[in-house]
Order: sequence, then C-alpha cells, then structure tokens
Amino acid sequence: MQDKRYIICGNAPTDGIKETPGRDLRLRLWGKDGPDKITLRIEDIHTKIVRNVPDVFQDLLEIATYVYCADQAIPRGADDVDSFGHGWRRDLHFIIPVRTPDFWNGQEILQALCSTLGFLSDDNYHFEFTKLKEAHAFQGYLDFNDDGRLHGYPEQVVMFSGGLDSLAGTIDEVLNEKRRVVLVTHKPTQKLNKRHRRLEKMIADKAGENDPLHIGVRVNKNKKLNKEYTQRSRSFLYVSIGATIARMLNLKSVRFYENGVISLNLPVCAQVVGGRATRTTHPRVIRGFQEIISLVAGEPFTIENPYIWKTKADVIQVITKAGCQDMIAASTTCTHTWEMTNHHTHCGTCSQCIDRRFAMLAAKADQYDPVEAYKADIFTQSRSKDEDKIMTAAYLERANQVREQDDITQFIARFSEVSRVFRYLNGNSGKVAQKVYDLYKQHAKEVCDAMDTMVGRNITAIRQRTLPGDCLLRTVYESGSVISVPAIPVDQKQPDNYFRKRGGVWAARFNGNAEVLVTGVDKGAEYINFLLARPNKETSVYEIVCGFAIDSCNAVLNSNETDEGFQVTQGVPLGDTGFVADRKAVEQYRETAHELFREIEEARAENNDAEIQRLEDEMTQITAAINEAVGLGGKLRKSNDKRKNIRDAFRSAVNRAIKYLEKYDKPLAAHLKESIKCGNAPVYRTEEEIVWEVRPIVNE
Amino acid sequence: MVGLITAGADVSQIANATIRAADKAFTSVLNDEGFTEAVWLMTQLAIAAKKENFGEHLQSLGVNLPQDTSLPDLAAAISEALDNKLESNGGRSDLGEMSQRALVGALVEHISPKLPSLFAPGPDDVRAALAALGKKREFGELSRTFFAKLTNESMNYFLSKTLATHLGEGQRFATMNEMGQFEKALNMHCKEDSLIVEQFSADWFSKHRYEEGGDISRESSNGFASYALKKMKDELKEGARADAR
Repeated sequence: MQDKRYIICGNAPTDGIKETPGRDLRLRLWGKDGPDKITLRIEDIHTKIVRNVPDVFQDLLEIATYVYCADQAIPRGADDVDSFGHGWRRDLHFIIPVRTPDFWNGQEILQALCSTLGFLSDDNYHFEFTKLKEAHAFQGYLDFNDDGRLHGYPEQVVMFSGGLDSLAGTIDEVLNEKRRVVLVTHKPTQKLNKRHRRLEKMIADKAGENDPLHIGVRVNKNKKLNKEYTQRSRSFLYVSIGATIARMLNLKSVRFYENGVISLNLPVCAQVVGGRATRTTHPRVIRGFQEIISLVAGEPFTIENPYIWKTKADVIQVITKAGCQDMIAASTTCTHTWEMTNHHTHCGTCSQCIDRRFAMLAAKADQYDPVEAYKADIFTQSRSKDEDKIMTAAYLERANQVREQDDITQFIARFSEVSRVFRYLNGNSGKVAQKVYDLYKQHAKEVCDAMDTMVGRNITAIRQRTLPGDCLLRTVYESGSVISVPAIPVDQKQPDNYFRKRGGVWAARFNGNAEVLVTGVDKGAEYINFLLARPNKETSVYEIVCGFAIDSCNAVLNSNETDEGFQVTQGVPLGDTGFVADRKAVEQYRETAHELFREIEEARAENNDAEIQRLEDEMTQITAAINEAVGLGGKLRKSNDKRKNIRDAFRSAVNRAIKYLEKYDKPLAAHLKESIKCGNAPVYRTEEEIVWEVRPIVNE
Repeated sequence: MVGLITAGADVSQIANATIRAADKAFTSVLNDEGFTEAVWLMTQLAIAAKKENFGEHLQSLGVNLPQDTSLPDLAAAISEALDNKLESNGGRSDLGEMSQRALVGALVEHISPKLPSLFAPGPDDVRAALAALGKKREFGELSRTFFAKLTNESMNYFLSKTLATHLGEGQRFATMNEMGQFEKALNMHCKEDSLIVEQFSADWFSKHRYEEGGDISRESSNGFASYALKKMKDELKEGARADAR
C-alpha cells in the first residue's frame, strides 16, 4: 500500500497534522478560484421540485464530491506484478468540514463509509469531520431550467448513464410501466453531451406526455487534478446525487440498471484481483450505499438494481421488444471516452465494447448497432496492442471456462470471488449461488453462440485466410486446424541426446530426458554444440571463437530469413574446420609472409603501385598476427593478455551455459562439466561414446 | 521467461523460470497479512473441528455460519471473515486476494464430495464435513489443494499479461485452444508439485496440535505458512529438472 496521504477539504484546520505539500492534497468546493477549486453543478433542476434539503444530505453531496475528486487527483502506483501490486492501493485520510460533524463522526456511519468505499475502490479510507464554519446554501449547486414540462411529481429516480442498460431500464420504467421518472445523469465529459441529448429526445418522442425529467450533474476541476483514470468512487458520487434528488422529491429509493454479469464482474483473469475489477454496482457496494443513505436519511432507503439477474443480451431484448431499436445506435457503452470521435463512438477493444458486440449478436440485434461506429472490429481485425489482445482473449477464455463447468460446486471452486456476492442479494446463499451460476452459464452460452454466428458469417474469409492471423475469428476457428501443429510432429521419435538450435533458441536433451530450452546463454550453448559435434578432437580455442565471431557477422547480414515452419537441415553451424594446432597456424603465417615477399618483388618489377600498397597492408596484418603468436626467443606465446582473455571468455561462456542447464537437468550439466576441457584446445571427450544430434532445426 | 514462452518451452520450465523471476516479489510479501490470515483460518477450521464449542470457535474467528449452513454459506462466511479482518487493519494486498480465492476454492472442492446435498444439507451435514478436517490426512489434503490453487493463481498472475500477447498465427500460441491447453497444463503442474506440501502439512498439523495442547498458535501458523510456501517454491524450481521426474 502507498504511504498515507491527507486530503484537506475546504477550510478544514490542519492542527496536529504534519502536512507534506508534495504529497497531500487540498480541495475546495467554496471560496475563490484556484488550482484546488472544484465545482459541483446540478443542472436542469425544476423550481417545483426544490424543497429544503436537510443539512446532512448537503454534507453527503460534499463528502461524495471530495472523495470523487481525490480519487482522480491521487494517482495509483504502477499495477505491475513485480511488487504484487504494492502501489495500487492508496491510504487516504480525509479531513472534511461538515454541517453535522456529530453525525458523521458516529461509529456506525464511519464504519459504513470506510467499509463500502474501501471495498469499492480497493483503497484504505479514514475520515475526520470538523465543524463547517461558514455554511453554504444548497442552492449554490443548482442550475434551474424550467420549461414547463413537469406535469406531476416523479415516482422514481433512475440513474441514467446513456449506456444500453440504463436505456433499457428507462424504457421499462417510462414506456412499459408508464411510471413518471427523473433521470439523473453524471456528465464526466463534454464529448457525450450531444449523444445524451439525442437519446433524451428519442425517449421523449416515444414517451409523449410521460416524458421523463432529466437532471445532469457535473463536477469540474483544474486539469492538473485529473491524474487517475480508474475513478472507482464515481458511483458513490452518482448515488449521493440521486439520493439527494430523491429526498427533494420525497422518494425513498434510487434505481441503478446494470446487467448482472457486469455488476458481479467476476475477474476475467488472474491478474485482476480485488478492486482491479470494477465494483461500481457490485451487490456488496449497493448494500453499503443503501446503509449509508439510510443512516443519512434517518429511515430505510433502498438502492435497487432490477437487472441483476439479466445478461446484456437480455437487456438488449428489452429495448428491441419495446420497439426502441433505433435508440441502440445512440447509446454509448465505451469506457475509453478519450478515443471517441464523431465517426467512431466506440473503441471496440475495451471490456465494455467487447461485451456489447457479443451481446448484440446474442440478442440478434447487431443490425441496429453499426460496426462502422467501432474504431476496431474485435472479430476480424488484427489487434496490435498487447492490452487489446489480453482483454479479448481473457473475455473469451472466461466464457469457455464457465461453459466447461459441470456443476455449481466446480463453478464456486474455480471462481471463488463469487462467494463475496452470496450474502448481499435477496434469498439464502444456496439459492443466490444457483442464480449466479445460471446467469454466468447463460452468458457463456451467449458468448459462444455469438462466436459461432461470426464464424459462420466469415467462413469464406477464414478458409481463404484473408483475415489477419491473429484476429479473434482465426485464433478461435483454427483451434483444431493443422496450422497450429509444428512441422516436426510432437509424436515423432526424437533422438535421446541432442544439443541443437531450434528456431531462435537452443534445445538440449540428454539420455532421453525431457527437453530443456536454453535461453540467455547463447554463446556458451554455441560453443558446447561445436564441441559435441567433434568428440575427441582438440580445436584451437581461437579458431572456435573467431569462427563464431564470423558466424555472428553472417547472421546479422543474413537476417532476412522467413519465420514459418521448421525443418531439419544438413550440417553443423560452422563448416568442418578439423583439427588445427597453434603451431600449425604460425607455420601458416610464415608461409603466407614468404608468399607476400615474393609477390611484392614481382609487383615492384612491374611498377604496380596499387598492388604494392595492398600487399603491404596484408603484410602489416600478418606481422601483427605473428607478433601475437610468437614470443621472445622464437617460443609460442603462452598466455599473453588478449589470448588469455579469449580463453577466459570461452570458459566463462561454457560455464554459464552449464550452470543454466544445471537448473533443469543436473545429469546433463554434470556430464558436460566432466567431459568438456577448456584451455587452448578445448575438447569434448567421454569414456563411452555418446551420439549427439547437433544439426540445427532452422526456419525453412 | 518471455524467451522461453516464444520458444515453446514446456510448462515445467516456464513455471520454473516464472517462480525464479517472482522470487523477489514472493520474498517481499512472505509476511503478507492476507496470506497468513488465510492459512491461519485454514488451521483454525481444522482445530475447531475437534472442539465441543465448534460454532463459538468459528465465531471468534469472524466466521459466522447460519443454523442450516449450506456450502455457499460456508464459502461466503470465509470470504467475509477474511474481508473484514483485512478491512479493519488495512491489510489488503494482491497475494491476500489470491489467498482468499485459494482458500474458498479449496474448501469448496474439499468439502462438496462429503455433502449429500449442496443447498439443503441437514443441520449437521456441513459441520460433519468440517469435522473431518480435524484428521491429519484431511488437513494435509486441504492444505495441498490450497497451496496448489494459490500457486496456480500466482503463476497466472505473473504470466497472464504475457501469454495472450503471443497469440496468433506464427506465434507461440497459434490458437486460443493452444493457450487454453497451456493454462490447463500449468494448473496440472501446480497440482502435481503440491504433493510435497500434503505430507508435510499433515505431519506439521498433527505434531503442533499435540504439542500445543489441542490448539495451534498464530505464531506456529505463520511459521507453517511461510515454510509451506517455500517448499512449494522449491518444488517448482525442482520440477523442471529432468532428474526430478
């Protein structure tokens, strides 16, 4: 967990607090403008519905606004796995001036706040409430907009995000149930305004006299305070506003409409632990909100999610059955609002977009949701970003895993996160567990059916392989295809002993044991391979090292190789250099030098200056080589600096490779240690002959 | 590790490389409150099994079971007890979350075959199933399942961001099926390697319960948690060795 941070709100005193300006945060809802100023605006309020709002509700609104703003202003640390997500969770200490400090400092409300917000956001919350010295009028938050449309008081407050679920809920309330509702919409970005207005107009056109009242809510703050995108606490602000408006209307409930799969939000993969899976409308959070608002109201107040047992496909069917399919294209599901453009209203790759595409197909309503609106088509396009690949694969894999569960016990054991839900939904745990299981089974079936539909529609392109090789349709469809089988069938009998290059890595097997792949110690592996290819033959270490240096150059120059399939080639990585002693090498140098002397005399006789220059250059190199090899008194140099370096480097490389192998195959490492002699003339020598397969398996 | 994945290394070698790469992270969280709390609760379930005041003992641990407890009730109660404990001391962590999932999953897997009915057990069915945990062998089996699940969760935690990036034609996992098969093989590998914890856990439980007069202290439990995890890690490192097969 991160270190403790203070969030000092309004004009709260900081007595006894050791404030660290670089770490701690100041936020002000009132007072003069400045970088720490935040504003809350409740728009389109009708004068007729404004009643006296109790102080404690005004406090609730301000607390929720501060929490929401701090949530965005204080970044989470990296969620990398190397520290088990140490930096993800924050330790937040709020000091907030309120009108009713005695109430807010009460044990029950403090416990409810810390517990609910802690579970919702995965952070640690502490609150200290002080007395607000200058109380501010609630009307300061309101923007009145009377247009005479209020025909009667609404019966229900519905949280309306503009997504498919809240749209379906509104259609259910307004058109199916004919109830008078007020829709409360949090507007996090200007980008959504036009789409929200369009949707509101479409609902109004259908509703006629029963046109719902819309109330928009904005929180504005300095751009420098926008540092964290997760915004887990937004639903607390959202529900606080809804509850305050309900209170103004003398109502005692607020409704969220969110399908159960999203609401329960089982983690899609192992890395999604705790609050990394959004818990915006998790049943435990909803229960917590209900407890908080009931304490604030001083009487029972309910927060409901009538769609908890529906999938998104069910939700879409509510819309189509009501004849409102034209509203689907105007709804917005995507969470990557920063990617939104006029042409592409959905990114197509975030979890919400993926869920929407699958649900549209499952509900047989995708004709109402034009694919052109998506920046990326998850089914047919290549996914270049790693996170996009991971998200899609995880979504589909979870559906596969759920589909494979034979009974509810397996389901709970595999997705034990689900046990956090059982006590927060109506009914006994056994019955709730069964309903959750049925819901996820239904969702898994819908996902698989949608996949089948898309495979069917694109079968020709899949067969002809005109779709990218990493697009979802091909990675799913070709799961049983031969293209996933390597060119060397796995059941083909492999040699008992091999040490060879396979594609980009080295593969070793000893005495028929399991194969070990060798990575990160390539040079040593190459040397070992070379020695195993020439049992009992001593070879100059300089020849070997020089040979591999040249080979490395060749590898760089010939890097445009194809990358498909494998085949066994003939020959070892280097040509058969045979046995060459150092003394022989010196003799060779001498002969070459003599030859150069003869050639230079001939060149002089012909007055060929260019040839003389070339031969002199060559003689310089030969002289340097002879001086390197021959010491004073005509003896071979034994261990002068550079030669020793080469021998040491060779030995180190071989030893590193053996040490690596020791982790996976001790007998192999022991055998190599025992059988390989380094020094001037390295050799692999064994008492009993072992036949090694050393030919590389290279790309075709 | 990425090199091994792209090269098509087998599960044991990747598991080995993963656990080595994650060794530092594991070491830094060895005293993680979520992990030690989950192990503590597991030992206390077994201790409660032999006590006269079974329900009271569980209540003292924050495990509240209704009169007619079903398996989902038990799963919910364990989750809630761990959540409440960590909530009150700010001890939430990723390893703690995985330990919670592992414990709930292990209990459900272990107890469900002993119940005549999942949803409407008789008043004593769940208690009878839990009571069996007091046996040395049963504790060993539960502990093994717990550590197998925790290890598999941890492996996937470290690998899940990497695996899917190697998906597609010409890559390590040409198809979703291949990736799924790999994940299943990894799960199986963790189950197989967890064998080493089973006998150790059984012996440890029996010895300590005897030595501590029918109870097990928090200190002993923490020691067990840390040593069992170390055994599991060492076995995974050994697991990729040819001579270990």
